Amino acid sequence: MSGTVYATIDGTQPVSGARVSMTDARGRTFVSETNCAGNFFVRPETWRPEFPVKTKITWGTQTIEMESAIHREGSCAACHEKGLSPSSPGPVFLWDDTPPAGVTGGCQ
Amino acid sequence: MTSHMHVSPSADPWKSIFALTALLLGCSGVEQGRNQLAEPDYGQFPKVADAIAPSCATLDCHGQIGRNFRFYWSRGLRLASDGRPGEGETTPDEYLMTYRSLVGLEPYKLDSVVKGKVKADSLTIVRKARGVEAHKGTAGQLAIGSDADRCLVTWLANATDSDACNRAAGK
Repeated sequence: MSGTVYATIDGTQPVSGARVSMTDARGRTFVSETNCAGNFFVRPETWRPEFPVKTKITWGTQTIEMESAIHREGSCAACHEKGLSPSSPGPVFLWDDTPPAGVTGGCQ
Repeated sequence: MTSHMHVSPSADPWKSIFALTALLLGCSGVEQGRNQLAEPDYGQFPKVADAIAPSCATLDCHGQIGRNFRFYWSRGLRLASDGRPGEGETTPDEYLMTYRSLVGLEPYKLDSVVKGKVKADSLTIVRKARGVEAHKGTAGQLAIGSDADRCLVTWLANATDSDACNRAAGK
């Protein structure tokens, strides 16, 4: 499982330190944290979920829960393309408006 | 040269009329046969779609234009060019297009199911949903006897269990 978390829907600012919580069909939960590029990934040898998987992302007090479950796709970007379209809700993002102070992202 | 050796449609109009009539009858027979195929009640379909969509219609499954069974849903693939996953409700046009996609999968077998000649589990869509037949998505999306399974199967047999559909849809 892997993906990138952005601050807002324009997908320009990655968010580091976001906690991505994934719960599989057996009720097992695995939490991964995004790096400076906003990326998170879970290797199959670390955690191999049984689909469907429900997901939520937390940064500080902000939590976004994915409306539908993941049934087979391990890559967020397969469905969450950057542009909005009839087949894409846009990138994975945390805030509808301006993110709060302290949100960082972008590797130096 | 005598006239009876000259062969053309105009020379024997009855032959041409007979051939044309036979052709038209043949075509209409095929069309009538097609129209006689039974399909499950479209009026009940939205509640069925709402019941099975969370298990079938996500963007990583049948919410993709490449699927033979293409499933439009408010939280998945949208029909309108300005539609967005997660915005608004599933539209009447989306329900209709999903319905057409579903009934077009195995029309002759579906006819037999709707008419009660064979059981619903003879349909590929039911077997795959139940995980009885290989399914690239999650095996057994709709557990046998679950509300969503019962909703789908009873609808296919023209005896929709609305309570099961509503429970499966969380209504």
